[in-house]
Amino acid sequence: MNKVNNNVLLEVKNLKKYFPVRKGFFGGETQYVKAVDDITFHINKGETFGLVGESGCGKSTTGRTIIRLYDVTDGEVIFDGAELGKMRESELKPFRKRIQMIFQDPYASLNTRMTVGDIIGEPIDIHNLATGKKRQEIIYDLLERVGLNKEHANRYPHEFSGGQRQRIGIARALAVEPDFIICDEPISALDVSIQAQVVNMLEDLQKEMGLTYLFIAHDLSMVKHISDRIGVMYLGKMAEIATSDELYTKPLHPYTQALLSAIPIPDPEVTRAKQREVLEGDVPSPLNPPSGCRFRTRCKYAMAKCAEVEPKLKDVGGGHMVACHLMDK
Amino acid sequence: MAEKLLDVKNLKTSFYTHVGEVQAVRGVSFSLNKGEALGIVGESGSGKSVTSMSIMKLLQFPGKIKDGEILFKGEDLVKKSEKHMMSIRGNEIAMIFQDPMTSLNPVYTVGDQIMEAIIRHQGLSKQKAKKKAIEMLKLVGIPSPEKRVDNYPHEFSGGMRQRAMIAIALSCQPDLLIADEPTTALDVTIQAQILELMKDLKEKINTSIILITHDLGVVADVCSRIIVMYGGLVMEEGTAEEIFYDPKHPYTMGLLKSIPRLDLGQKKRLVPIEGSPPDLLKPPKGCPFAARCPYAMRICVEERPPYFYVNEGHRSMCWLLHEDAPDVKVETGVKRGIA
Amino acid sequence: MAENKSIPKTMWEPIAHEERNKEKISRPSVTYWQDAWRRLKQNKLSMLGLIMIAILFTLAIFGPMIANHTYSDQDLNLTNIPPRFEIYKIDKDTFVHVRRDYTLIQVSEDGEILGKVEETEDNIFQRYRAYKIEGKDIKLDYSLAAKNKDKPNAKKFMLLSDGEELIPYKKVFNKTYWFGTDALGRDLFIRVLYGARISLTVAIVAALVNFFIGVLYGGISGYMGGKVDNVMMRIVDIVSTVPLMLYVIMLMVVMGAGLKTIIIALGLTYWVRMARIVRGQVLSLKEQEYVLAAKTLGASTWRILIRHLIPNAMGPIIVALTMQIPSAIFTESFLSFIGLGVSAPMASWGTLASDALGGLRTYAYQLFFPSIAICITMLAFNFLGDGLRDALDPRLRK
Repeated sequence: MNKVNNNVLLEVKNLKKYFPVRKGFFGGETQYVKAVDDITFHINKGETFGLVGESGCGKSTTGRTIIRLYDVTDGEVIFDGAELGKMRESELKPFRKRIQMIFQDPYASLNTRMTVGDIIGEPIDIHNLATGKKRQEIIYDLLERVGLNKEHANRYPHEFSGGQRQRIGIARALAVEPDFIICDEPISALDVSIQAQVVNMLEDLQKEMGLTYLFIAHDLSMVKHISDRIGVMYLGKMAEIATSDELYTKPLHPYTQALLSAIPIPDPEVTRAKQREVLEGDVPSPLNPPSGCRFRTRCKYAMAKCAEVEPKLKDVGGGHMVACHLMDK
Repeated sequence: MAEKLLDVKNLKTSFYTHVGEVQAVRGVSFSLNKGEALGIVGESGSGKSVTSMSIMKLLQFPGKIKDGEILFKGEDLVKKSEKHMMSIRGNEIAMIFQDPMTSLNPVYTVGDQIMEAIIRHQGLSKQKAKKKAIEMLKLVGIPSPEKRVDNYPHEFSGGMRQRAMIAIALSCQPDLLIADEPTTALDVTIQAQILELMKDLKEKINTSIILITHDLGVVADVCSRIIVMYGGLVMEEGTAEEIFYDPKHPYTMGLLKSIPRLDLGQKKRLVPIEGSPPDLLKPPKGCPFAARCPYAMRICVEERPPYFYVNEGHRSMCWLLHEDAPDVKVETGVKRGIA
Repeated sequence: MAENKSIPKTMWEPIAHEERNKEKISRPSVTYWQDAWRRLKQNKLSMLGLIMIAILFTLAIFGPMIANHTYSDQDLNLTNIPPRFEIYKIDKDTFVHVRRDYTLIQVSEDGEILGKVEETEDNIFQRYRAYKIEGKDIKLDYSLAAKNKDKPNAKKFMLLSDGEELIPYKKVFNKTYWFGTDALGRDLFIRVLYGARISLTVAIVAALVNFFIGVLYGGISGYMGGKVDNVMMRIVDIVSTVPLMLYVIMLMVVMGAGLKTIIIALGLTYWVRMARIVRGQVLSLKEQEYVLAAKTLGASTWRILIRHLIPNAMGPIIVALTMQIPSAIFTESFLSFIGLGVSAPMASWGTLASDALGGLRTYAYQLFFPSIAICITMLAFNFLGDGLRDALDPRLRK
């Protein structure tokens, strides 16, 4: 059912990102961490695509490679028809205005030596969007848009709470009026009551400005809430892609099932009655991943085939894609 | 009535910084029975971790216990000397911290670190202590403990390190185990493993547990009684069922409403708690939550509410429960899930 | 149950939404530097260091200006006068001091130097000198010195006034030359002050050169990373393998000894440490999310370096700088001491110490003052550096 879709904003094709680990001084053997190893997905205009997985699964690397904080090892990143993967920094500059990023750590993502006004003003300066009074007005406008006020422009980041800082980070990303925002775990460092503020704000901004999001997180319940479609990653591979409702009601990959089962539900009766399926063991090292299916070492359905052949991501109907040999039957 | 193990009375802890006194804990009282698992829920800055550090008397400079009593088995820990506390810590009260990466010393083997506590508090010989260490590792579910006992922490994964931390904490059969965000730094699947382990151990060795966390899902799973903290005060206390199905404090309701429920099919807009937590350098005169509370009344700003008891054991610090209070239609946001 | 005191009805009114929901910040705005200054002020030792450095700078700048003689003025009549000496009373208002070479200097009662007394007879065979002061016959008999040569504490001379032996009247401080004079009769105090000028100039110039070269070099190396970093750091390694002494000697051959040579030599080698420190900082800072954010905004390398990385590495840079200044001072003194530095009549603390070595056993004060000056300066800068390290450490920031 791979219809050609004019509505696609971002298309990632066979993306690979390897990090060299030890470069021998005299040209010795080089090992690679295959952080992202051949993943393919697309994001439609105006939708929110969630990317979930545990630490080290490559979800953040995917986001950072798309925005070209990292160079692409192999594969393509097609944004609105243009291939970003092999562009040089100078060629990328117009796209830097259209793709933005919101970061995880509200304490580390703002330069503490700059005032909030200068932080939000930086993208305006870089792209020469406005100067003087006009610049000032844009900054005030952005501050108000994220629920802060004018007086905050002269303050320094350390004077704000985590939620307020995250909103400053959002204001900075909005300053260039982007089409596409990569949200790299934007709420995982925030308190529960603040998370909802930020998520609601992101939803409102999406409606107002017609934004498209790539929402990266490890918290499946929040991802499910905000996303239209979700991709589940495990050890650099895409395990399953489905709409968020379908992923919850009909998870097909054993890893997705385990992930869903592991989440503690804030309801004593439900969570105590639930038979939790506990995954044994730890995630294997991405330096030396298992052969075949990467999940087989922890999978209770693992067969002989799983060790030999790597399962391909296949459409099982209605855009629900799974990479598992159990689907072959 | 069950036997009281810990009784904290009107605990006040402050940090004396250069800008002034930060009142992190402003009069917290609660008690814990033998064999009970108590959950303390709160956001950062609510005073939940400072409370646990006060019980352990491990407050960092410039923190100080200003007032109150911490009765542990009837004896007041606040008055105890540092030397006396050293014999209690690790032996009678043990603690697990959030970050398993930094709470183990990288230059000693895991076995050495478990044995240290055993030798120190129980006076066992080295061979016996090692045997005990292997037993403990087995108890917390580490495969081939005979080999693993001689490993260094860096050879352990995050989940295994947290298991090793639990092994160290339990090695002297403490009466009380304080777990401060024990699963926050771990992945969901590993978190599930650790939570199962903790529930399992609770049955096996009958230790009282104080579980401090910001994750309502975690306390719902493990704890029978829950304390909700905010702004250095206990906002509400009750059994898990009371807190989740019959919350009486708007803050508790707000917390429940602001988290998305994975198990309930609806996709609804989240209801956040607007605003930011109070600055405890200048704590508000009245209810700390008044500034963010949708039902705030004049009195909430003027005077701190007393505890109103819904029943014995379920109390809430909220003026709405006063008999003169107007009948506000309160939306609790509670939906009982279908098991 | 709760207490049942009556509460006025107005108290139960709900309060307006706007009244509560303000994102206000109650704490005063404190910048990084204000906070660091506050923490530095709490450290008594570093404040002492800072005060000493301030005094040192004031003295070095203004001291030689207001003095009534310069560092090179010689008075061969008044050589080797110590800063504190014994005086003998000849007459009501006449006092003399016996120098170590058994000549007489006329002084006032409170220690002012009035001038050398000309002898009427100098008998080197019987080892005495005769003087006529205020009509009195003074005889300075130093024949004991030869007899008691091996006994350091024994009496070396006798001062006889009209045949009567004089005993020391009292000890006074030298009012004319506070630190005494050297072998050429130059004022040691002025020379030490002048030395401070030289030392501080060397230190400041060297530190500034290092600051600019080191910060830029280390910043670029750390930020670029990879091969560029590798090559740049190997160059640093090569530069630092050649000893400083060799640079100085080679430069001396080309340019001759002097202040310029030392400054250039220090400038050539000292930036290496700064470059390493800045590189280390930048390596860890460039993974910070605010740097990534700037990159995704399309900021140029230069902008990221100047606006984000260097301001955030400023703490360790300043600490390294304050630690490098005393090190540069010490190096300059050392080079001057072994004769590779500034040459006569200019005086650096190193040359002063070196000059004093010859007469060390008789005129120890000539070594004492420049050494003390070096010590105090080193201590002051180190105290300040330690304090700054604590004050600027982001881990200690609350």
